[in-house]
Amino acid sequence: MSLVVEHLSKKFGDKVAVEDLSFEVPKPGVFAFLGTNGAGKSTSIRMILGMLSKDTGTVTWNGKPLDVMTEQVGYLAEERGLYPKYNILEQMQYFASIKGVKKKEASAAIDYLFSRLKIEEYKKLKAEQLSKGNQQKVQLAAALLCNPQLIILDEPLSGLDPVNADLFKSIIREERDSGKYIIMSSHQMETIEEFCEDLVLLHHGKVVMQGNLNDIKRSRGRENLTVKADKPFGEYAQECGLTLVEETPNGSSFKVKSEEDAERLLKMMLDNGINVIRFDLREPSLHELFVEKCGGEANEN
Amino acid sequence: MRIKGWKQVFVFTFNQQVKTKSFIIGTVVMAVIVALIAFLADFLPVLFLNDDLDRAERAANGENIMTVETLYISNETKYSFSFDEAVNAAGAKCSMISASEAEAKAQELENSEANEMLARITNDEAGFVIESKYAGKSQNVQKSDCEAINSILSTQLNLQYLSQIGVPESELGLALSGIRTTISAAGEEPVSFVQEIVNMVVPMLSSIVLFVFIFSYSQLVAQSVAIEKSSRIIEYLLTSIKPLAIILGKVLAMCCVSLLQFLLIGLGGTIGFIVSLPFGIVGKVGTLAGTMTEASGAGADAVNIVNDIGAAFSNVDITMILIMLVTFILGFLLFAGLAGLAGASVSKMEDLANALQPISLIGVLGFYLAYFPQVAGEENSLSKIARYLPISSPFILTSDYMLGKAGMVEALISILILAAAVIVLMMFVAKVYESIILHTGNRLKIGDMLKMSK
Repeated sequence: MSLVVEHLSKKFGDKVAVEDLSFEVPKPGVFAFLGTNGAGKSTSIRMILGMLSKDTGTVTWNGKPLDVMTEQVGYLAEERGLYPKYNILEQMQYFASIKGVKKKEASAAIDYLFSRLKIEEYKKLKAEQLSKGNQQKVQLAAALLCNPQLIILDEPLSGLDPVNADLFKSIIREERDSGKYIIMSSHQMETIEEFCEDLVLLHHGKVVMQGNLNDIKRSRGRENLTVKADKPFGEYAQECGLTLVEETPNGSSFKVKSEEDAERLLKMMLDNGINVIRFDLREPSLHELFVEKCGGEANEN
Repeated sequence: MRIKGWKQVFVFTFNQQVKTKSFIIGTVVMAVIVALIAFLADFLPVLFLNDDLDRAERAANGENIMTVETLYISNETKYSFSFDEAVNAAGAKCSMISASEAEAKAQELENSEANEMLARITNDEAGFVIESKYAGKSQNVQKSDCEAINSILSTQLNLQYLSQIGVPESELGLALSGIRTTISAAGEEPVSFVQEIVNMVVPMLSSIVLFVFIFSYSQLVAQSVAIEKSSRIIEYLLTSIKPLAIILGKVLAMCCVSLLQFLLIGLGGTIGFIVSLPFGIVGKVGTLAGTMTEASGAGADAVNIVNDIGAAFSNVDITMILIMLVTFILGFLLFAGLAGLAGASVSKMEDLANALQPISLIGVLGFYLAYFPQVAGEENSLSKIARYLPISSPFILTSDYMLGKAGMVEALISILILAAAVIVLMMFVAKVYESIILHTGNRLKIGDMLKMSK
């Protein structure tokens, strides 16, 4: 079982929203679908789900074209909502009915999910009586109601407090561990790093980075160095050819061309009697990769 | 496949709509108002015809309702007449007196409180004359009874005179039946005044009621679509169901909700009418109709009014109800389809009123096209256009059929044109709705939608 997206494109008038997007989610787990605001993520998701017609491309699930009318797909949209004036339980039952879930199974699923999300007491309330966070929980429950094999979560953690963010994460983990295929879009890079092995990064509708996150990082090598010491060491860093990125109370961050340059700096500092408090040479973070790939143009924009 | 799931949308929309406070309160208030109107429409005429009906009721129960106890008759003609039997049958005693006694009796009655009446019968070249006087100070004698007695005396005079001059008894009935006259335009059935009023008011009311129901519920379809779009629920729904199924389920549900409200309000009217039956004019006339005696003459006005109203509604049958139902449903689909598109063309609720403006204009135009010919009451080219134009035919066809202005053929042609318009609109909606439902940003104009339909 796998989700394969091939050569997906969409234009609105002359504006290219998505250009030749291809990726595969070959095994259960969390796949990161990243991009700047307006990069074409939501358009791509809508095309994958069949809400929006594709100019080109195919989406196959388990070897067949994906049809959300027959396959159970869970979807938590970025811009989400509930019927403000209607009872939550009745809305959930309605959502279950259009997903083809039988009444009894729907009741059991609603009970379980509401208990898991700690919102049982809100069942009889109207959506407008709930806080934004609790509405978000109801919407996550709605996405998982039909026990879908494929789940698409667009910014699932946005606007949540840390406690509820952890609750959401635990549920995502639970779904992942039970063999679900999850596509997650988020601007919280730490969360993506926490969950995802594979990713695709869109910028202006085009794929600018794609693959296994660890492989991408490894291919870049350890190029980020953070150093903190009890005495100034700027002249040694300059001598070793390091580029200063920023200085913070936690130390100075540098870009290094090779690991040897970093090792040379450490040796020079120690030889000159400088006490090294922190010396951290690491691969680039996802955040840094994201900014590197999309940041320049975004800033210009 | 594109409409799979419409039933779930239908059930949810219907259930939620009938649970809203606006539906419950609106229905209850309207049902109570209509019940009151039905009650008063049946009961109020009784207040004006109460005496007449009361006497008719008493007469039907075998009671003597005649307020004139003694009738003195002075026959001052050269003919011999006998009135005893007819006057006694009407409940009064009859006493024949001479002309001189009549002079004295007339003077006596001026200050008398007795329930007495004097009738002096004379004749000249122009015919018989009956001059009647009743006791000036009497508290009981009613003028209507005096008129009834005069009527009895007139009948007896004519009968007995014709008999005396040799008209056979078998011809007397025809000779005295009187000549009824009517005036009406060529090609039209003659109608009474009451029928004329009913024929004018009922079509106007029917146009207004149909317009209000079709139009207000169409706006609710637009509102419902716009809420789903602006609150982004639509994104969730579209993962399981196609947009066409959503709009179809919604439109049909709202159509049924409006029919339900219409029926509940109608039920209120029926209950009001049933409650009024023991006190109202229809119930009283129904009770009296079989037992009224010609001699009493009471209750005739009430019977005539009820008969006239009945005649005005004589075309109300199962065919007319079917025509009303079909035009209501088709008219609803037409306006709700347009309203659904308007709802889908906006991304924010605050834009909805602007988006609905063209639909409102079309609706109001259709309504007035249907309404004005009914106010004018005449069949003209405007009324014919209104009958076949899809935007106005839902508001006029039912009443035209009820009044006999449109026959079965005209009704079928009008319905077919309306159905064709609905099919064309639905095909357009099916093409455009799926494209615009996820559109965000500025409100789409009609031109944009037309482009999308190509």
